[in-house]
Amino acid sequence: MNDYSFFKYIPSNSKIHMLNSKMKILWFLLSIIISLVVKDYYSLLLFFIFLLFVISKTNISINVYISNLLIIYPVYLFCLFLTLFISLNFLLSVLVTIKLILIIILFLILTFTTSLSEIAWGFECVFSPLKKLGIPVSNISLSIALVIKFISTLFEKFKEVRKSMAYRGIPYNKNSLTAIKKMVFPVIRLSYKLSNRTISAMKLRFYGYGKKRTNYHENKTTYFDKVLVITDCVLIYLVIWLGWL
Amino acid sequence: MNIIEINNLTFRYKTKFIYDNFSLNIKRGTWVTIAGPNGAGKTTLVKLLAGLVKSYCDIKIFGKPLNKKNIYDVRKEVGFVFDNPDNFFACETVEDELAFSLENMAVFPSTIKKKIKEISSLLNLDDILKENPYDLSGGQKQKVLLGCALMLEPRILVLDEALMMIDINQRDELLRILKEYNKKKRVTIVSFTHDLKEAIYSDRLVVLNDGKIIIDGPFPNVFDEERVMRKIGLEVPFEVELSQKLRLYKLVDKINLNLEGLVDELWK
Repeated sequence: MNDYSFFKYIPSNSKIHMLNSKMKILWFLLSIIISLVVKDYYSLLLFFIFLLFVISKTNISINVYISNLLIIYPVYLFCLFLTLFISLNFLLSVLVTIKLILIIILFLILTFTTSLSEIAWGFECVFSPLKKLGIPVSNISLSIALVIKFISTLFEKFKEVRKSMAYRGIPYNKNSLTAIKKMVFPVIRLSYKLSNRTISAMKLRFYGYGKKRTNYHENKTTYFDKVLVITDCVLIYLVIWLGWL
Repeated sequence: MNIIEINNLTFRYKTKFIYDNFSLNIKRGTWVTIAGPNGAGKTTLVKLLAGLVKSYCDIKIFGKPLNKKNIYDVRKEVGFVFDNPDNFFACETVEDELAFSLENMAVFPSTIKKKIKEISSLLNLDDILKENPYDLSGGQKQKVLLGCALMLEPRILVLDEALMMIDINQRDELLRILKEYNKKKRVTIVSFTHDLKEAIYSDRLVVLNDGKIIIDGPFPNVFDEERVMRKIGLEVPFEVELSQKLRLYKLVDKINLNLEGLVDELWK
């Protein structure tokens, strides 16, 4: 496993990093819709090729994506067996699991290439029409971004606890179940402490202070932004069309 | 004029009293160091000043009582720098980190940009603006945290063991920057520490033990009570000890926390 943590921002000047945050969130949401509505393997392949193209434009090694995907392999296995148990259809359960992996890849692309404030700002822009209904979009957007950040921090703490357990002689590699049992309480305690500290820090930094927030820097919308979003729209159309055939 | 007024503060965690009838006033524009051993109640006092824990007492900042109604107005004027920056960071670049509080306050991006330029040049952060704050050294992290606090142009700066992770050279540099800032902008600095060397530029030293003020006096004359400080486990700086001994032999007139200053005085 490399140094990059799950869902952690990796600074770079790639085309995907430089996307306008509003367009990137739009692309992300459309891609989530594609991965949810996809019904056949041809569409999956088409979408996967598109994702590989996007990954190649992130300037982040494919190994980073693979190693991060592998961290949560028990989740995929759980999903596979659960859908198999419910549907008794192996092909369907494989399809659902692949869909889940594609969604995780999308989250990885988003979090590797987008800083916390850009995620918050992007969500805020995309959902800004909801403001008219009195929904506190700014706060909800920042909360989503903070939750994503908290996941990466939690993974880091998990690694820390695992290492400290290893130093104290608990062979977590040999008998993982025992080690996991011993790690659960320290990780819960640490995450509780961490969340309390984060809340205090956010209070002191005026998070949720007013109804409005500004965004210090925003990348301009370029031709590449539009191409990505339009490709997503075309893919949605194709996926639905292929599903009907 | 008192900028911070604490009158008859009583505070306890469960059954243990941390403060019982505690009072402290701090004047505008001064640098006050509040020192004490572990468990003296320093961090609790910082949390009380930040409004992070509820108190049923009379704490006034700028004459306004610290309650739910005033808390944001007060926080706008007070910058906090904590001992563990990792708990405070919320963004992925130093630049975003500096901008975060002002973004939340809906300050215009052009104003934020101007402020970032000013603060980064003051603290020499220009080269690390695009770095991830978590990847910086301890000293750089503290500088970023200080920068975040200064972005708000606070009238009060509260430092909670803020210079503990920094090496001596960087600490001296930061202390000098803070002293300049204190003089130039008339910012009140309240520094909580257990290292008395950090009090080098202070105007006043308050020593806490078990939630009580045991020493309170102007700096550096307050070191006349160095025995009491030692008794509660505070390490008196070597320069102070040396000054005290030289004073006994009437070689110097006053306590000097700066070795260079001490040499200069001996040289006269």
